[in-house]
Amino acid sequence: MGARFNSSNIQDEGSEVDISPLIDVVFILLIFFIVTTIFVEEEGVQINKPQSAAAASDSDAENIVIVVSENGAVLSDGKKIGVSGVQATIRRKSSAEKLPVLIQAKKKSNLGVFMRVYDEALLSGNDVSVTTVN
Amino acid sequence: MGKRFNTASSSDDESAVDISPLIDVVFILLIFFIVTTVFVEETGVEITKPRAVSAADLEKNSILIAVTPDGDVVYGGKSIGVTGIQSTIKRMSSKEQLPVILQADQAVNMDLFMRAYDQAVLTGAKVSVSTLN
Repeated sequence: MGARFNSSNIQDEGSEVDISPLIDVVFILLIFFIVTTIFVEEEGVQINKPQSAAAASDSDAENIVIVVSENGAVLSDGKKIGVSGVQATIRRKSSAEKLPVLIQAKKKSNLGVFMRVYDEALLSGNDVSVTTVN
Repeated sequence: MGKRFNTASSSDDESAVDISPLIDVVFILLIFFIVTTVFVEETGVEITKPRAVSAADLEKNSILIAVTPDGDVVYGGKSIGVTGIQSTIKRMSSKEQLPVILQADQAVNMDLFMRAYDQAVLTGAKVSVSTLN
């Protein structure tokens, strides 16, 4: 403030507005935004789950059923196919037309194995839906 | 720059550093942070995400809910339980419907995960499962 009232002693260029309070405010805002900013980078998938159990089971014959069991095994028609065999199995069964895929996850199976199976099934390009079974 | 070399013409208090480029830079930084900031409440728990190749980028402004391997459902550092999911999502999206991101550990069993997922879907929100690529 003092500088503003001193401007009479020198030429015209001395009569500038004192902007240091403005800079203080801007710096405080800047620090606030730097501190509060978090960069959320989330990747994910959506899961297609039929709302009623009946909807999933009524067209059982035309579904490709893949079972994820408690111990992490992946089964199709009672045979172990493993996570890497999911895509091949779906391709083989839907050679004529694209059949919907139904993944039946046992309630005690864990999400990690299920997710890998779901991912493989999605990559095959068929419709994939999920149910949990006992 | 010219101003700096003119200081000889007047008294000593004129020899201040020209701070206008500094202010320009600070303003640009300020605008950058204002534009990029989203106020998302993080869950505050560490989880191991399941892997998926087919993952897509999710909306930044979302409700984050974590499911831990020991069966806890956590929102904003507090354990809310499976039954608290619906009320939490409804409370958070009272103004506009926000998408929900479920951060579930890969060791979570499918029964708990599906119950949590169902609760979230019942609110009508778009629900995604957070994965690692």
